[in-house]
Amino acid sequence: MSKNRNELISELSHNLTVSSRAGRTVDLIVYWLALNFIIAISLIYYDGPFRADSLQQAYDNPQFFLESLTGLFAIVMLGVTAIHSGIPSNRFNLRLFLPALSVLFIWLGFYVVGIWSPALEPSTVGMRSVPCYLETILFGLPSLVLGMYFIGRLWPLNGARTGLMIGLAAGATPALIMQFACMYAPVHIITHHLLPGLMLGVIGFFAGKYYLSR
Amino acid sequence: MSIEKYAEDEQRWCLAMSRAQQGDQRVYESLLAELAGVVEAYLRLRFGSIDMLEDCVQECLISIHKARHTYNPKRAFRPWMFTIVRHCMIDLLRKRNCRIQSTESIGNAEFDLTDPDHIHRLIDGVRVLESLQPDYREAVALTKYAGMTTLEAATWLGISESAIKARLRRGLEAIHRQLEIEESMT
Repeated sequence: MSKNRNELISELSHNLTVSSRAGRTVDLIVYWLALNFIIAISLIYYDGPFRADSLQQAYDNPQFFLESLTGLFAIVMLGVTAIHSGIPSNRFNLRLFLPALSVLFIWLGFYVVGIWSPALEPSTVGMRSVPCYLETILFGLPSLVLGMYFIGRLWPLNGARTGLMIGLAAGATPALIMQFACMYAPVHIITHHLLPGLMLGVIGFFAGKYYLSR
Repeated sequence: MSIEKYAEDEQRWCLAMSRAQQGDQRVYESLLAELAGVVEAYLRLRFGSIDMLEDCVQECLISIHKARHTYNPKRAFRPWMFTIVRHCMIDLLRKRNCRIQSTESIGNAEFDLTDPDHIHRLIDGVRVLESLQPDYREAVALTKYAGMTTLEAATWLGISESAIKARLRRGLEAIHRQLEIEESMT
């Protein structure tokens, strides 16, 4: 850089326009989470019906309710962390990054335990015509793109980590909704819902590395 | 720095950036000029008198400018600014090598490959390197401060090139973490 510092400062401040503030992070988080769930629910519903008694099952069965709630927490925490990482300042991110990942793995842990002690009787009721692992990946992509767009308007400093977080959140959402739409069997959930959902984290990682990195 | 001065600067910068977001050119210009000095002092204290210091300061100012819309006037200014500065510096250090401009102990002499103590004199007083593990410190000092290529540094240390690259990467990550911890303690 060969410019004189004063020249640079004059150049940067010359014709300074009103910069529309990034907005409150909370607003962005709420918008993204709401759209994320609306998109996932709509697409899954459009592609096939939900299990008729799935909500009643969540109400009646505490283990099923708890595992679904843990999934919801994981998505919210991952989304909050991802969007917040678009604002430079490390304090909040460092505090949330590992807990968010931990909750995600606790959620996964529920289904590993469920292989021996399932929340609901494993059955093929609700089995979908389109392979549900494809649905999980495809239906998470719009939320990932939307999240990338939201965060791209901010100033994320660690694009790969931010991409990973938003990818995991975007992938976990259809995986969670699938619990109510697709068949309930822990092994099927792990291999056909959760792992494809986590794949979006990998996609998000690389997408973030190229699209979000400064 | 006294607590009063710290708080006063914080409040002034916060207010100035808020006005800059509303398009106040004059306030923004004086804010950037003031921040340039602050950033320079911050980097000089931690990285020593390196030749690319001016480039780093200017890169930081450009990043602060581009990220100004993300500053929330209700939050503290320093963590926001120094997070940007830290990332800018580590990014530049990853991409480029720097050289100590001059120090009392070594003057402007070229790095002496035959003198193992030279490396210690070269980085004497570079704060970010002091707390690094010796392996990482050597890797960062040789490549980033003495201007060696990774191959030269590997030969000098008698290790493979991939080993020096790994040490360099870990060394820079350690510097990054160290700066993060420093910030979170202020």
